[in-house]
Amino acid sequence: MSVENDPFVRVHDLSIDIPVANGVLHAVRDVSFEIQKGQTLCIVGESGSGKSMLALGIIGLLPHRATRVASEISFGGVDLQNLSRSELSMIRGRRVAMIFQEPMTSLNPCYTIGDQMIEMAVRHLQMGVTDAQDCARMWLEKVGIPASSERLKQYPHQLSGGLRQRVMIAMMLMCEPELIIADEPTTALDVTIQAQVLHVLSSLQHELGLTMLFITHDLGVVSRIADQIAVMYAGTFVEIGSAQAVLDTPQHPYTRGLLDCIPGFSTRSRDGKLGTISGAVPSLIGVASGCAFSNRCPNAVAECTQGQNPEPRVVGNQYVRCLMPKSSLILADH
Amino acid sequence: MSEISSIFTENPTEELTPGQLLRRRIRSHHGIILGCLLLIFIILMAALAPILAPHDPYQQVLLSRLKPPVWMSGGTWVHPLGTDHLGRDYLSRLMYGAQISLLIGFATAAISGVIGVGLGLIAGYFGGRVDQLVMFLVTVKLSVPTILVALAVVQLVGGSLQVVIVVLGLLLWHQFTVVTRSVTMQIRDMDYVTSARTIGLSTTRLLLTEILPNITNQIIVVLTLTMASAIVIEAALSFLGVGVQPPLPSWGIMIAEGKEHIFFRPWLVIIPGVALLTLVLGINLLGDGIRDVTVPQGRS
Amino acid sequence: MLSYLFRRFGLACWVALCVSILTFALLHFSIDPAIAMAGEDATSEDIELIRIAYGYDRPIWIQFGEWLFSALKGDFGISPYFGLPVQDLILDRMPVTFTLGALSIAFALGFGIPLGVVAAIFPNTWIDRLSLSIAVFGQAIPNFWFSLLLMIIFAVNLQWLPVSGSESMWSYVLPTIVLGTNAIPPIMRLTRTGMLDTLSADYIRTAWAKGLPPHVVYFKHALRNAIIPVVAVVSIQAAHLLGGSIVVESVFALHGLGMLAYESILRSDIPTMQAVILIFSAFFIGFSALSDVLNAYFDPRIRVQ
Repeated sequence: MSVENDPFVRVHDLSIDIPVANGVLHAVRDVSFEIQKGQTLCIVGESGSGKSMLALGIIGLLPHRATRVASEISFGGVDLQNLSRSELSMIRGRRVAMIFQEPMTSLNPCYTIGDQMIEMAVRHLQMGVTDAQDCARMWLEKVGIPASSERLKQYPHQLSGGLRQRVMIAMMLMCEPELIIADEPTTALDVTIQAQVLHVLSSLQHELGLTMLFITHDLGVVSRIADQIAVMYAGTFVEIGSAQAVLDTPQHPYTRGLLDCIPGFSTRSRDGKLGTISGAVPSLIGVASGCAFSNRCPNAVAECTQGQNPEPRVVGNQYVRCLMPKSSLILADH
Repeated sequence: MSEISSIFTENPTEELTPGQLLRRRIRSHHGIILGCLLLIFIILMAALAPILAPHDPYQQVLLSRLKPPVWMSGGTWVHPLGTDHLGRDYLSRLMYGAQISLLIGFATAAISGVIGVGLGLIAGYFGGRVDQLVMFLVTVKLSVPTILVALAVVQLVGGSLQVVIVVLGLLLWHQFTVVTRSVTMQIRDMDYVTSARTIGLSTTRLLLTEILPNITNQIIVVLTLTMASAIVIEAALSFLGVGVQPPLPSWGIMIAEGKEHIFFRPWLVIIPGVALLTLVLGINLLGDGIRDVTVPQGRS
Repeated sequence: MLSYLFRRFGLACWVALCVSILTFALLHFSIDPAIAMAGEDATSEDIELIRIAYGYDRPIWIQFGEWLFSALKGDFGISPYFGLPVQDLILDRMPVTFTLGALSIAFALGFGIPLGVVAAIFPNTWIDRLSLSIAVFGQAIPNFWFSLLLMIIFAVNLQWLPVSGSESMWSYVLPTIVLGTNAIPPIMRLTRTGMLDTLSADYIRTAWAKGLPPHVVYFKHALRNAIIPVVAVVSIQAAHLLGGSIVVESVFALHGLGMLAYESILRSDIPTMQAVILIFSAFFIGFSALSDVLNAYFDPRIRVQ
């Protein structure tokens, strides 16, 4: 939802296509959002919804074959679309950071933690090696890793998954960027570790006033850290609004289905059955006809399968791409 | 709940049989096509030599020694590629030389193939001590400097086409063994082999009818590589004066004889070398191409 | 790691023993050494005299044992053709072959690795196809003919380099190019494959996300991982290089071990042939063992077998 003040992150009409063997895969379709400075937008969606492609597309790390089209991609006034490769590489790591899902494989096995952190400070902050070492040590402590001097000399394989992810966070934040994009940073970790890492990330965000784009499929995480929520399905945002609005009064049938699947969020009675969404995500190759969710939607009518992807409209306190959102239903809920 | 099928219209995927898929991949693989063309060209040259060669490759005409090829001054169409130091027509010698190279290639590859595949099958199938023994033999073989030993033995025994073929056949089997062994080990424990065993198939029949057909692709690749090696080694041996003896028109011998005149008549060296390069290039491209094209589906 | 080293060394010793038995038998059964030594015009009495004088009438395993015993002490006998102790000949020729070998490997690495890296950074472009074409040609071209070709172009026509001999470092240029070109294809292909695999790894994506410049990503992060299998291959290539030196040294008249091998074979000089084959085999065994050890060092799973 755009607000009166100037939003920090602005993405409008972003689409990403990838040519595949039997056609063109529309991985991301007409995604738009804005984030205020210091706030967190959580993008929720299942595997294959295009969330990771969206993240990579914003910072320009898509595979070669992919094409990206948008009317705007900018943050803090910097237009990310028209930068040269070297300008983009100066901005990555320095003003926008990205944290990935797989801590086990995201660090180079041949170099020490210290090496990999120091090169960040040297590259972006023009520090000398000793200063960079101090900076690295300080940041390891900030993410809650004790004995930082010894850790700097260790290799990634000597650390557990949780520790590696903390190192990633420290490494990506040590140049104090303004925007973090986190693509499911806790998904690959043990449940007990997830909470710790999440806590580290979110407290650093508040300390530094960072704007965050947080991608996840875990609604529990979302409820804890989101200011805004965007629900992504089949490459497009089906619902986007403030966290409270989306969680308390979900409008899109898919959102409602997702929340129904989770005890505690479900709008059903406590003793009722857990919800499911039958059917499967359709293939994204080829020409779209109507709403992507229509084959699984309990509210679908004939118009839903015709024409284009429904345009976002204001329903309640959020934007929804739906011809039959909850508020307009006259049938009883089931 | 409405039943609406996929809202995206996909391009229809064709269902191809494995044979059709293979043929399509072969046709679009430039290396295989080029390799085939080059190889066929040389094979035709060899096969049609008795019909198309303008002269007898052994006939010496001392009055027309060292004539240049037709595209240089002094060259005529009587001898399109000129003549050598004994007045023999170069084109005819080149064409008959193709026969020698191809013969060496096929015969050596056949001999080393039989030895290598046989050893590989035994090692892969029986495993254990037998496997250790065969792998030890392979290690010993790999530690033997091939060209050196080939040179030594052929020189000492006396050079001839048959000796070269036998010696090289005994020196080039190791790659067959390694490949056959590893594939046999993979296949050995598969269900269709076990079921063949349970219906009482004898080991030999098992090896021949169940396992062998499945390793054919890899064996063909090794076959081409071994052929290329044999051809090059034979040429090198002949070049060094060991191996096939003059007046046979081995390309190696032609290059050696041409070496004496390298300063003023370099074509004597260049022409047979280009033929050799063409043949080896063709075989290598074909072998590489077959390897690319028969890679299991999951890898592409 | 240490136990693997011991096992590998033990295996190498057994292999060396077998190779020397094999070559000894091969040589002695291919030709009667007494006849070889006596030459073409010798009478049968001369041949008998030689046979007894040099002990060729004794059972073959005694001859072998004696030869092996002396060989382990470094005494390979006297060369009938050169009239010198074989070990002197070998020591005299070794530096040339070592120089040639080292230069050729350096040449192959200096061209093979960059070509492989560039081909991986720009896959399926003309750069990639050019590199692969170079690899295909390098593998197909017979080294003795390539030597002559280079000789024609550079020594005869352009007169830049000496045709033969080993007087100056310039004499090493053409032979290095020939031997090096044969070793470039496997190095280039392996580097390319390794780089392609490495460039699609997650930690490379992290390196890009860190905003590191391309040369740092490619050479510091990617190559370091991709180069590992190449090291083992270089060892094998060194062995092949040695085999190739026989032809190349002979064509360019470089007086190294390769040329010594050729000369001794032409003259049926059996003591020298035996020694040279043993030395070559020792290097082959050594290089292949080194290659296995390097592979095991980088991939712990191999050590367990």
